[in-house]
Amino acid sequence: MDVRGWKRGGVGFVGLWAVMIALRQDPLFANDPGLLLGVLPAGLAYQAGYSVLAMLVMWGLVLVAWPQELRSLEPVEARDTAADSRE
Amino acid sequence: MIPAIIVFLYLAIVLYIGIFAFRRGRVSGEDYFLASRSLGGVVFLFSLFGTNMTAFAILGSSGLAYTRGVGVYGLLAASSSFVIPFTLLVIGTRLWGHGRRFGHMTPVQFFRDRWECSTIGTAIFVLTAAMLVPYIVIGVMGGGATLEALSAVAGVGGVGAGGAGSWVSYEVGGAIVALVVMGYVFFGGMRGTAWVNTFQTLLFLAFGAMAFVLLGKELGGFDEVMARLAADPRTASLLSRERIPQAEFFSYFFIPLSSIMFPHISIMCLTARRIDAFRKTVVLYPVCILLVWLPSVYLGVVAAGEFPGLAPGESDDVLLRLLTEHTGVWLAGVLGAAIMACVMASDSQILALCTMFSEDIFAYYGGKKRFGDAAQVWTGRLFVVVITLVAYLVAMAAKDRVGIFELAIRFAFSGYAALSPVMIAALFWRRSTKWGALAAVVWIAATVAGTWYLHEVTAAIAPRPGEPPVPIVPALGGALLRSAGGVTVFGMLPVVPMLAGSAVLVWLVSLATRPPSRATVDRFFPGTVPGERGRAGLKTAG
Repeated sequence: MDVRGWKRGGVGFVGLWAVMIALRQDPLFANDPGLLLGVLPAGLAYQAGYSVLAMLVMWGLVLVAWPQELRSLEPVEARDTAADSRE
Repeated sequence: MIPAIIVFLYLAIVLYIGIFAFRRGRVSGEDYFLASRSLGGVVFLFSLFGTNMTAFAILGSSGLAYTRGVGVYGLLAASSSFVIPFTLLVIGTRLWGHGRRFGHMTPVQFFRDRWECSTIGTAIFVLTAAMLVPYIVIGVMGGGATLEALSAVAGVGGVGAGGAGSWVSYEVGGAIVALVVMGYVFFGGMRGTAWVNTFQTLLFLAFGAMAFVLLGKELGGFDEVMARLAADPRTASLLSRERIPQAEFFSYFFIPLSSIMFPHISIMCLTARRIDAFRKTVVLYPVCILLVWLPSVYLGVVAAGEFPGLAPGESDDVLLRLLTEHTGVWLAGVLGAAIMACVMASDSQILALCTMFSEDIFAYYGGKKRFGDAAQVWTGRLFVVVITLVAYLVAMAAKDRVGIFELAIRFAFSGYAALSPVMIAALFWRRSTKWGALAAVVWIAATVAGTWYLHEVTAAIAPRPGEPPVPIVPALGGALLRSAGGVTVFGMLPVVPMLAGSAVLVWLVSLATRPPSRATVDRFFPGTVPGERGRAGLKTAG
């Protein structure tokens, strides 16, 4: 990856962190003592939803920011076999 | 008695798993310490998650929710569900890659290689190893206390009472747990530890869900329990985030940065067979957190209605109290085993410490070259025995001072989190230097010690839970405050200034000092084109 690519990735990550920090602060339900379906406190439901959002974000990151360059590193056994065959 | 018997059965199973792993292993350092870098996706996910899921995560979170309410989920779990998988994706995969290419087995080996440093690598070893020790001690303490609580004779002892009412004492319980953990780490190494952690995680997820449903039924339905809590003015605030100040809540976001810097987590990142193992882990990690933490925090709040008026120290076992008082003996036993699984998370910490000693000290200073690979493995095993024995003796001597170790762990969380800029600089910044890393390490050691000192000297003025924080130095206004939980900086946990200071020091000191040789930098950044400033700096160094 060239320097421009690194910088673009870095700016994207900083932006993502800012959004995730802001969403976690929960301006909507933090001090709401109401209950969702009579069982789950609203603030707890919001934060549980945040974990689901985190899963979706990770899914997206795996698709767009996966370190493809590391895929070429083969498992140890394959490496050993290659070394043996050279000998 | 039945719960304790089920727990003993569980302990026998995990010991057997360790011995089975021993029979599958080979006599080499890479096999014993890293399972020959061969863990598949499922084992990698569950063992990594199980390693992070400590007694603090389960018992501590419900105890904290008992006193501070449902906001505890957002405080620790929500931030972890984003930060931990993010760091695994960005840092863990790169560590794995360097481990594959250059044979690193510990983070210190990586730092030494990346920055051409010896003594500074040793300084990083000392800091990270020292911050790991309290976890191992508290694991033995937790094991002893849990076995004592689960073997309490009905009507005589009860949970938390311990002592006379239990047929397994704290000392014997601690010894049993220490021996079992030592046994499967000694025989199974990383493979045994990873398998045991996978078994423990699956056990906890399966029986935790069952317990949650059964407890709800036993208590007359969670809707009834919640309605009672909402109607009672003493407990209504537990259903919102009222008891957690905004600044403190914000600062907790950075604590999970510690996860990837824990030696047992970063070493575990090196064990994956393929890079694709990280893919499942990164995506499913937030779901695992949700499944474990949501019931733990929820039950902690439920317990506030069931057992009102417990002191902060006593509230840590509310989950055990709920189980033993509201479920049958068989289920209490199975769940006790599941809780024991979390308490025994010190296995990977013992193994990590032993890997670091064997690789960063024994092998680095010539032991492996002189005595061979097999001797290194046996040195590691001997170290497992020694560290477990020391941890047991400390746990027994400090039985009534568990608070000291809990405090040490809290500071260690901040210390490891503040180390993350060092790792990020090593992995992503060509121009970073060993002197920048050393400056950050010194800063972290000093601030951890300084915060602890401030915490101790302000104990006398500490407000009670629920009372407002008091200024430590009145002339500084709200800059340095003492709350019921500890020292805060502008209302935030000390981790925020520690992290910021560490990042600034790595940056400034690196720019002011000579970078590693061009050849070394090119080894770690193949195919990247440095910027002009970076190129100029590296030319002068090379």
